[in-house]
Amino acid sequence: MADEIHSSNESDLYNEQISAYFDGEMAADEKARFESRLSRDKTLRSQLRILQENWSLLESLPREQASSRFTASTVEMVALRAPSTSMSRAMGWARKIPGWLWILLAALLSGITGYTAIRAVTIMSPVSQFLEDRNALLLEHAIFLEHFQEYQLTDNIDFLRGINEIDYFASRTKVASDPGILNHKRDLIDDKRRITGMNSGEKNRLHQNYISFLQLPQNERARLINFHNALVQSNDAEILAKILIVYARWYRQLDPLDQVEITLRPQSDKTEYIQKIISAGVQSGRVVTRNDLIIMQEWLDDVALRNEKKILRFVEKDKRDAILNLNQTDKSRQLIVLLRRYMKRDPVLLMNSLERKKYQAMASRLSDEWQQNLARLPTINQKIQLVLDATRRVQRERRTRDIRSPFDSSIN
Amino acid sequence: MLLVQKGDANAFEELVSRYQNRLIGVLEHLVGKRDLAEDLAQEVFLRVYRARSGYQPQAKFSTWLFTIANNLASNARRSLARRREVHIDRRGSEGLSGDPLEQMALAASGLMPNRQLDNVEACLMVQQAIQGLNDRQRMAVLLAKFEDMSYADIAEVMQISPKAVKSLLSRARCTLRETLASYVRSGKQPRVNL
Repeated sequence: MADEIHSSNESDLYNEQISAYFDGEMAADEKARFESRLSRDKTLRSQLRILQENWSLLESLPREQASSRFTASTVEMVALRAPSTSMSRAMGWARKIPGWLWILLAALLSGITGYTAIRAVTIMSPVSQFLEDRNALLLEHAIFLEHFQEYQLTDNIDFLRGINEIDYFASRTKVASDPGILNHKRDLIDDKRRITGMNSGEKNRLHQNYISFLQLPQNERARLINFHNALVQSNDAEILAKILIVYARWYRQLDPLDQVEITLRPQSDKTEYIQKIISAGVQSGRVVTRNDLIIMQEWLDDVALRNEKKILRFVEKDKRDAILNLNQTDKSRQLIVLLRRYMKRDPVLLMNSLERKKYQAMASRLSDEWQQNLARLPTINQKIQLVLDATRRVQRERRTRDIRSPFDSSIN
Repeated sequence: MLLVQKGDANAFEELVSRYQNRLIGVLEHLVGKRDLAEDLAQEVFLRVYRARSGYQPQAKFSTWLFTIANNLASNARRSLARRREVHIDRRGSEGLSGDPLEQMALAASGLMPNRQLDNVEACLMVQQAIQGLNDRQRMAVLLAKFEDMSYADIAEVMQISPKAVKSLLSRARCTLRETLASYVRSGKQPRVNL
């Protein structure tokens, strides 16, 4: 035991030396000793090289850029919230003024303020008018502006309807949450209140969208506004609003070359090209369609319930009793969670002949693309792992988007 | 900063614009949320402005700035933990959302045997590794890597001794080495245990 502690301390010291040398934080004599050892010790050189490689990998971390409005909004916020020292000095001085003088000053000030306010209302300066107009425009189109970037990625309502014909998008649209695009009946006061209640990030994004919108040519601005108006007034507005968001989310994760390809294509074959990209994704196992997911989920439910005793062997008694007292749906949910966890420890859980047979039956019901995927994997263990990974991935995506789908309860 | 101390508004704006990206970058890695990072960065600048009269010209400004940021981020993390908020990665998307290791499991599962990990995956892998560090290690790594701070400066920011920084960075590097081992060893092809 003492040896272990000693060796662990030595190893810590050794690592600290490498780290300090790498950071240039060694004293001259220590550095000379270390370099002499480095020239003799191959392992040390290799460790230093690994440290350098790992350290340079950190370069791939994204470097965040503050939003365009950040500087201005920070300065404004500081101006509002930071108490001015000159102000406090003035307050000290003010305490010495007699009360009657304050009343006189207040009366004078209110007179001047009233006069200025009336002037401001009656004779609005062109600059103020311009700012007012801009604010009015922002408030009038606030909901559109919040989704401005999504509108920019799509052409028109027909395009959205075409996209909704694709099973991949249709299945996601059914479970997508309401993006709030249809809340057009709210009055301007509500919009004002909503904008005020946004956090700085949301405000910055809205502002950025607004600036980008104003920079567009007049006809493009009109087209986008008309598109938005047509969407909110259409009979299938709810679905179209969701498909707009779902499509934009899908588009943004594409390879940039695919994005360019989609943008440049005429609308007639755009949908077909999108379908092609999705099929490629399905073939690579990254996409699971709704039907495949349901089949996989049913199979997982079945397997979990059949292996109930085996799975529960891994669990402490209290938890086991609690699970056994659950209703069938909740029990199967818990068992699947445990199955996923313990599969890694004991792959035999799904390897008996009955499981294999059931697996073949499940696999034969999957779409052609998924059957091809499974066929590419040599062992049944890998195939099962792919199915587990796929269902878990879809489940995580859903959880991330905080969406409740009709079959979420059985997935979780 | 000396101009800010004298109440020069333009100098303060310049200061914000010069440090905002670095500050938001570090804060986002510390608290895991972009919006919260921006709010915290604003709070840092507010505190800098309020405390400007106490600023000692001999102190390095960035050290002072990141000391405030470190304290605020610690408070924010504590309150996030109390509220049991779940970190949602804003970079998540249809194809790349979920556990990065799962995505790499797919890449390494034999479906695409010749596929090289692209930059996005490398970035996810490194992000995962960074998130695997504890809060103090992460802060030390970010300051050393992206702010080029010496052990003495990091020690001042984190209010610990330079010796503790040395040990913190060494342990952080060991953790990173373990997490990124398969990635580095096999020439950008991660090994994932299924």
